[in-house]
Amino acid sequence: MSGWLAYLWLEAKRQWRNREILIFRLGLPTAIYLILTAAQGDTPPSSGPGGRIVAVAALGAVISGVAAGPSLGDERANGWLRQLRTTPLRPSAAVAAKVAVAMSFALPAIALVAAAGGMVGDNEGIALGWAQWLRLVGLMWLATMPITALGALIGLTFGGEAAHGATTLAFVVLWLGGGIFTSPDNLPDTLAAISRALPSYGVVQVGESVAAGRSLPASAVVVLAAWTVGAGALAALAWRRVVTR
Amino acid sequence: MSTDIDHPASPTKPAPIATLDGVTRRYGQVTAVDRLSLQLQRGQTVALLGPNGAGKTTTVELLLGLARPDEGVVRLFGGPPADAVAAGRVGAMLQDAGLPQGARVAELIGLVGSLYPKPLSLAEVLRLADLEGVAGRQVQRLSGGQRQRVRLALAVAGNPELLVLDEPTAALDVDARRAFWHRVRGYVSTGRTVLFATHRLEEADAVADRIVVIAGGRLLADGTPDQVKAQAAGRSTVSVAVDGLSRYLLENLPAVETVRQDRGRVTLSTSDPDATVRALLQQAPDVQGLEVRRAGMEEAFLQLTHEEGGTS
Repeated sequence: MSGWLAYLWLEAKRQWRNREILIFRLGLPTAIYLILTAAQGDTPPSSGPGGRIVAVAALGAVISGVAAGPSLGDERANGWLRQLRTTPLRPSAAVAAKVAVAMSFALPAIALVAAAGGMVGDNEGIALGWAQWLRLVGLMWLATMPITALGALIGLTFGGEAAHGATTLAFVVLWLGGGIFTSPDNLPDTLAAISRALPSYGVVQVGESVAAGRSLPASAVVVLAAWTVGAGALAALAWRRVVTR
Repeated sequence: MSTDIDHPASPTKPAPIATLDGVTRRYGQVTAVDRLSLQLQRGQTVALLGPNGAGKTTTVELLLGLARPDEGVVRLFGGPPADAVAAGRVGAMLQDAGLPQGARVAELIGLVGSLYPKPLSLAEVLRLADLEGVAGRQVQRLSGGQRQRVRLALAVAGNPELLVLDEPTAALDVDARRAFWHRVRGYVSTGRTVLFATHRLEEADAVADRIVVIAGGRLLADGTPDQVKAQAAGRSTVSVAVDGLSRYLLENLPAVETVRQDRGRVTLSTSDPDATVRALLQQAPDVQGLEVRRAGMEEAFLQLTHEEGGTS
């Protein structure tokens, strides 16, 4: 356990001191939110109260969440994961650390968008108390878990460049197909069903229900749990292949 | 067909710290390691010598538990390799292993050390690997030689009983290589065991007190540097024009150790050229362009370790 914490700490320092990572994962979603708000002005978002905050925060969650993919893919390709495997570190600790660090970026990414929304988003038609804001950020953050598991799965399945490509593809699918800016209600039936089954849609649903003061939809909880378990289990299998030839 | 040279027998031989027993590992059609048996004794510095593609890296990976044998058994400190690795008894420098971008040298060494039960102090590791000047630098800003020293530092940081180095000096020039081995010697002088893979005879000769020669995944020789050199020197080559000769026939001639084909000629290395030629003429009486040579030292070694075949 202490070995894992030491590795987690190094992994976190390594990524948090990288300015490009900070700008991309934390600055970009907030900037997108501010630009959208400036561009769309007083038009209330079609997806209901707080819809824009939720959509952009979900985008931030996806950006940070899939980031474990390229990181693991690179370290798989350059042999660092195998080098770690020759130390007493528990083999799965490297993957767990990547997921934990990805989650550590997702939290402020979501929180910054929510904060920006709280400050400039009068037009969003929501009036949330402190507790509800915290609930919004906290639950959306937890809902990001399956996306980080998916990132880990991608990184362990594809090495190097392929991991970057697959991550980009996953990002685009989750963003455009996952109900972030386009509601599944506007899609043909088959696509809508796929869209509703994506974890990013689960993140959006969680956010929208908290913003509207509703209870969490059971379908979203099921989708998110299934992705976490499924992607996590597949990642564990892929991990075994990576470390032992 | 391997010829072992017996070690000077010590009456009470302690249990080996590492054992490969009849180990075979295949990757698709390629047999990377072929029925290899090997034991490492505590305190030895052992060179695993062979050309590229000889199976050195696979042997190292089998020993570390990074590869599983298809056949045979690998034991490390009396148990499965994974247990010895988990217990922190092994440190390894893998070939070309990368380092995680953005990490600082001292952080990485500190991390790896903290994973082991009785690590060396950070100061000791930095001094041993000559990294004191770059301890605070991020790894992507290091030169190739510095990076190599970081990888050595990571291998010794945990103060392991067994140090495994796969082609550790491949990227270094002569001076850097000498300095590298000077550092490793400083580390092992206290009774620790080292296994290193190399394709350089002179490196194995200069550093190791035992040389294990493999080629084509098979054990060819095992002994002190002097014994192995003597064995290599005792070799001859027989070469003939290739026309119509079957590889099977050639491989099964008496005393033949390796078969190599190159531009229309086949070259056999043999420990008994008389026997080889006699049998060859018997089985292929119309063979053309027969040539028998006693191999010089380097050439004999190349013969001993040359990749088998290639075109036939």
